[in-house]
Amino acid sequence: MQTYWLASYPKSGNTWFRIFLANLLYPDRAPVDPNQLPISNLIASARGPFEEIMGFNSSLLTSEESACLRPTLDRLIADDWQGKICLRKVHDAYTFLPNGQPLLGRPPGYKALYILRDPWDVAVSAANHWGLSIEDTVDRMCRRGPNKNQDTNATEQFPQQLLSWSEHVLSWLHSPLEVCLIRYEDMHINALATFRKAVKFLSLQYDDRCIEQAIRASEFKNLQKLEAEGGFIESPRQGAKFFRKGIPGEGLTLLSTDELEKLQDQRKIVNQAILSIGVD
Amino acid sequence: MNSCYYYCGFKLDTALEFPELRHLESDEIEFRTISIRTGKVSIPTSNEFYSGPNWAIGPNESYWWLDGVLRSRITLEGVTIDASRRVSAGLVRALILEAPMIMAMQYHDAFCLAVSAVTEGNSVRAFRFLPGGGSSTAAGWQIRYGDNYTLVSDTLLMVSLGAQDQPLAWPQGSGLLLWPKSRSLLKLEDFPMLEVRSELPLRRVMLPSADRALPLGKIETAAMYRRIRQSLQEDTNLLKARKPFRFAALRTAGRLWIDPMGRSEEHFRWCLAIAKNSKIEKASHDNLYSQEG
Repeated sequence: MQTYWLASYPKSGNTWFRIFLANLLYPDRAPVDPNQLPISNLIASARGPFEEIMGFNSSLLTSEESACLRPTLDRLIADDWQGKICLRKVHDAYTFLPNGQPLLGRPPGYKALYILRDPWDVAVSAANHWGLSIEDTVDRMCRRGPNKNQDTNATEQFPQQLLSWSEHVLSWLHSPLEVCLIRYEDMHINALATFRKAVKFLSLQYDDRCIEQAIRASEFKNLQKLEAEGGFIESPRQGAKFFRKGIPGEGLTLLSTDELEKLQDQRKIVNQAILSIGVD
Repeated sequence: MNSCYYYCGFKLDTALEFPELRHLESDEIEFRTISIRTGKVSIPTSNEFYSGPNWAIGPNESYWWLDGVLRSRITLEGVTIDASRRVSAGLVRALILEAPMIMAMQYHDAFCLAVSAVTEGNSVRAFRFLPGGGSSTAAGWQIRYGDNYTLVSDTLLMVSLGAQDQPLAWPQGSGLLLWPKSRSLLKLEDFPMLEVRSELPLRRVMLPSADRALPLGKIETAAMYRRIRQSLQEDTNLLKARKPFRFAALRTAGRLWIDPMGRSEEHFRWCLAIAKNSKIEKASHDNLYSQEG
């Protein structure tokens, strides 16, 4: 089955899009419970499927060794996929393994829907999610190249190579995959056209009425209410909200001049690339 | 010359050295024996086997491999190992004690839950979180900060069925694999530990271990450590009705290999016994970490 990566830098609307998709595919369950989505929640970096299919404790391998095995696993997962659409969340940048193979597959088996969010707003949301100061978060978003010191601990996910924010975006735009770019801000202010574009890219046949219903069922205020009532399994830690504000433009009011400038440089790189590639 | 070691309720008879395991006398006959020997192993290309990315399973023999590291052939009698000389012995041993041993035990109709576990009084309390989610740390926590807990398992809990199908949990006997952060949290610097491979700071910490099989009392499950800190998440639906059976089936180590080995019926009965006789419940932070270290 065709794999669609739902790719984004963290805190860029990936979860929101999957909730929309669940509401679209399962209108009888709308609004879906974000804690029990009827579509797969399987992130590309999850250890669980790796250990179950390969049959051993993945923490015995270095991050590079385990990364080399992930493409094989992803092919198997796609072959055995039982759902309506094989759409998988991924926060990794599109990178290459030491043997030259891409970590996240080649066409035609793989395509990517990339969600791009303003880096100023990403910084505010990611700082809350990672439990870092905004200053440290901005530094992390601007840090170029792969993180080479990843084998110090094991969590429920394999170490992810995010690269810098601009490198992350460009890695996907310059990848050999067919990529559909949508903007988080457009998911708010031009929702129908944006979600329609994504739905069409995913080769799903739904009319505007269905898409509008799914958008309404996935409104941010509803998600905030559901999280307040029942919690959310992807919340980063006690007391921290996952569906925090979601308002475009918050970063402008909360980042210092220096932080704004650092991320503005990142944004310029991405905007130039988008213009030259013509993907937007 | 061969030595004998204890592992998951079995006696390993081997010329390889396993410093992470307890020696057994060769005349101890209470345990079934699995031999581990070295030899050339060729991975079969025949489609008689049910194949995965790094394994091929048949009713009488199976193969498990990791390219460039290890190839193994597994039968009822034991495991033949063909390891690369460039790979550290610690890594080879750690891998042998996982998939090849799981397969060998399955040929003996012995199944393992993929859980960490400790003794609690006269029964066993197991923890199952997502891989990398802290179940080994949770087990270590009970041993370090609880009263009279000993280690039963880190990754594999072999469960046999006793009288009236009572599930009996056997000590794994290979310590607890922990990363520096957990070792620091659990204040384990003074405990004996073994390096697994020089490239990783992962260590096998030898904590006080149970020395006999005990009834499997309960299994506590959670998505991950940080999630069980959230008091809002009261997922009581998780474990109703047929879910304990499903839990045991899905958390069986090497569950993909059971059908092609022809062990489905034995495994069904095993899952049913666990579902009927052991409690499976949602882990709570207060129960797990009531004694702050």
